Amino acid sequence: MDLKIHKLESFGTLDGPGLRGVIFLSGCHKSCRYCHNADSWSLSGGEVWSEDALYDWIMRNKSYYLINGGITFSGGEPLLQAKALIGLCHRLKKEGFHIAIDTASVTMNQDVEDLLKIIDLIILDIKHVNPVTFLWLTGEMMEITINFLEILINRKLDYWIRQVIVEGVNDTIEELKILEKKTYSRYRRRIELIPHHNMGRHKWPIDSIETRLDADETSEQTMDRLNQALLFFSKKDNTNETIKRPMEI
Amino acid sequence: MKAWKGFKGTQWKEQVEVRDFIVNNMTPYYGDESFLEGTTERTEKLWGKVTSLMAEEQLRGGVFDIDTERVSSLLSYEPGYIDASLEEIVGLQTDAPLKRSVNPFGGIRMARDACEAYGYKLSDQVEEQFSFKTTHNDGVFRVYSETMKKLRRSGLITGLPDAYGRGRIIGDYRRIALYGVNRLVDFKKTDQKALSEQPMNEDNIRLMEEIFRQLDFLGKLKAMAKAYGHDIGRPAESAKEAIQWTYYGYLGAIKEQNGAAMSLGRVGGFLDIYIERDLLSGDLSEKGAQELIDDFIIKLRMARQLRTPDYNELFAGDPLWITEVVGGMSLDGRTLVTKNAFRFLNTLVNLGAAPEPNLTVLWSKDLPETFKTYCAAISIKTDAIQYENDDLMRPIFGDDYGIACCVSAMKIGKEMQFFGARCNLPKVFLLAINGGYDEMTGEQIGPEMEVLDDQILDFDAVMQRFDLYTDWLCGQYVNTMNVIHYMHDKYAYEKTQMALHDTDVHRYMAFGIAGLSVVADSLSAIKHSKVTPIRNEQGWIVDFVIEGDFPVFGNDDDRVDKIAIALSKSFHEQLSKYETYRNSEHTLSLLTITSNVVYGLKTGNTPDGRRKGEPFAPGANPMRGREKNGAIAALNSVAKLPFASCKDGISCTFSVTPATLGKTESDKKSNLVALLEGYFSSGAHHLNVNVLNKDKLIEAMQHPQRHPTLTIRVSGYAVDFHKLSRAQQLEVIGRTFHERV
Repeated sequence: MDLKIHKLESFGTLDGPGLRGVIFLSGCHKSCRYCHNADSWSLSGGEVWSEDALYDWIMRNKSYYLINGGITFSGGEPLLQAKALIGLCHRLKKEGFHIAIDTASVTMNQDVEDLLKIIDLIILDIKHVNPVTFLWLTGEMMEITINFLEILINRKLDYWIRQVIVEGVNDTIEELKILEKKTYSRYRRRIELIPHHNMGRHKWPIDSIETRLDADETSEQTMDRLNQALLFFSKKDNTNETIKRPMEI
Repeated sequence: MKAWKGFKGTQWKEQVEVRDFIVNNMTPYYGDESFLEGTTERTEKLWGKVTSLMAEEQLRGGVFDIDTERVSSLLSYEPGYIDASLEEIVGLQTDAPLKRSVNPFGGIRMARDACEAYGYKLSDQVEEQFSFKTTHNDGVFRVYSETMKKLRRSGLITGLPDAYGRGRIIGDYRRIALYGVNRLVDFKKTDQKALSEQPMNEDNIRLMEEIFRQLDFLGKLKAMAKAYGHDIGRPAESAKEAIQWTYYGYLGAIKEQNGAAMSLGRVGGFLDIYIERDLLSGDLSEKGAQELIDDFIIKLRMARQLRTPDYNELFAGDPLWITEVVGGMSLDGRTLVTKNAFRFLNTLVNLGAAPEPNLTVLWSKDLPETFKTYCAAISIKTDAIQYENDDLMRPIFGDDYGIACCVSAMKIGKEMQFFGARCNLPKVFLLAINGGYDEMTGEQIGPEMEVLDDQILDFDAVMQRFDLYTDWLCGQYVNTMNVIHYMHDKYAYEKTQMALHDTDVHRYMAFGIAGLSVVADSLSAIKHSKVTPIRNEQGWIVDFVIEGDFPVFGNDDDRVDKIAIALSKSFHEQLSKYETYRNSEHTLSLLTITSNVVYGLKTGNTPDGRRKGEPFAPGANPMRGREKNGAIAALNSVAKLPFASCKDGISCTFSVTPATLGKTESDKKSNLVALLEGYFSSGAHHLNVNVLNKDKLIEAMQHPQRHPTLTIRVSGYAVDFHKLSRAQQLEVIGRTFHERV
């Protein structure tokens, strides 16, 4: 099946453990007010790649990704193309790749269920812990994300939790504590806080510019404060290993 | 005998076989860096003195002092010291630290000009002495043809070693420590006797005379050490002596020769055997061992040669390429990583980052993980080391090879090379389409043909024409090299270094290409888009209109990468058709040092869109800013270049910002290891690694005093950033830094 691709990153070191090929798929159903990649929203946009072409691209760089990393599908929202990913991920697992999916969650469907059987790690971006703010921020119900997380835990799938920190929106220790608690299970491998930046501002589509949140870039002090706190109440996870799962046939 | 007490093996005792000694006695080390020691108070004091002398050297315009009265050789100067009471390892090139010597054997004019460039005058005494002497440079110009002179002047072939020492020869300095000079003399005399019974043809007579001169200089080497109070006639008996004896060999070599690249070789693993023996007997502590290595490295960092400003444009930053390899695997599958590999790298921490010695890690997938991680940590911290693929070289060069200069492998003491700088391939291309005329000057240099008269350049027609001219150039290039090396052997033969080689030595003749990516992209433009030549009044092609997109080198795109592969293969094949001096083996490198800037200046507009005067990419790198598919695609393109055709090395320089390498320090290390593993397992040869931000370089340009030790890898070697010219600094800053936005 064909895939719609926003961009490829051959030297990915920030989205999942180790050195990775990161494939940013295009299309997203959310419209987060601080989105850094608003140019990847359009469901009809992106460059069309055949599964074979994408597989070839990955295989050309194979020697780099099999050492301590793997492949990450990010977006946009990669799970919107779950159906197309299943075949590709099967082939990649056979070659020994560690596969991660960087998602902000979707409503569960059969394709996503099937895909979760193949991959090794979910990087789950939780936008906020307060349902009202969540809705305001993303245009979606928080429930979807929470349900998604529960399914991961039931499936015993390793996951990372991620949150973009925006000052004045989710930068309190109180909120962080809730995030830590709400997302804990023995399968959580890491919580990662990411500072908000404004480098993606110019990518916003003109017609939705009034929904854009023009927050300041998150300061280093804020990040330090939250990371210190996080270290204090969440000592157990934070591993950066690539733990590969056996393939479910 | 005390010297060999406890050492195992037999073969090395009967003949000169340092490798056999190493594999029989080495102690592979699989642990991490936690055993390493810092500096001692004494080292701090000594290094403090040296660094303040070096600061003074910079204030004096880059040269501390010149001895204009004497000619450099092994016995020209009384012993020199930094502070005799503090030095564990002794020996300086002249009688005072950082004082440079004059070495006119390559050519008197170069020596004279170099003195004048720094406000000195070569003494009448030296001038007079050399007015009766034929130098290497005199010899070459007695024979150069008009065409060779034109090739040189126009910059089609540049950097030829015809006015200075050719270098790129690595003496096996370890032999002095293991055998002592007396025994080496005995071995040479045996060879001499055998040769004297051979038919006296030209080759044999020359070799016989060379051995005579080698023996003469082994005697001088002994006398040089004696002046410092050491008897190197006998073998070394302790670790300290082994380091000192080895260093005397190297010191003798750089007193005798001012070659561009004077590598040290592969001494670390050898010396580790002596250190292990002394550690075991309790004669030495780890602190003492590191102290000796630190002292040795201090001496190497002080090595200097006197150069002209012209020379510095080609080889910026006052380099000597004191290349020392660390790591690698042995043919029997054990690692050659010893504690000394760690100690050598640790000098970059103890004494701070520095370009010399040019520490080169021989990378193998089988190296201990602890060592890989330590190398990555040192790269991230210092930007001072380079990596070369041991798994690629070991099958060809065995497990006791060193690297001459940046990327040129050779078996130590058994192989040497005739250094041949490089040819400017984009300029050959322009010469070809202009029917032998230099597009910059209008001078007729190559065979005269019609200027290509196509309205739109046709790929096949261009290739056919280019092939004719590269073939012509290869013939000229080989002939020029033959002249240079005949004369170098005759008038500036490396007595000390060749005395530390087997008598029967294998010779390479090392040619080079600069600007491969420019030509590959130009040909790709002609093939995949529409290129219309623009002519000047005389009818020569001086510019191009390029319409449409075309694939460029550095994006893992076979449509153009295959052109680059074919170019390097065919160039090597064409070279190999022509007979070489002393039947040396033709090899080829893709390496530029910093000459990519000067080469660019001498080259007009090219069909890839590069403008007249713009620098080429360094070494085998893609042109800057053209790698659109990210770091790994760029590295994949380079990794495809065929080592079989480019056995003299394929240099690639890679810069990445710290943030791109990963979030935490441990992520950064493990990702750099993954990068190196991935790159080398795809068959690539060499990688210079810089982990830094462009902003830091820009700041260092504006405020050099804030970054006195900023070291950066440029092309097969590292430099102090502040020693680069403005143009070179800008070129380095303009290079692609891989980062994620």
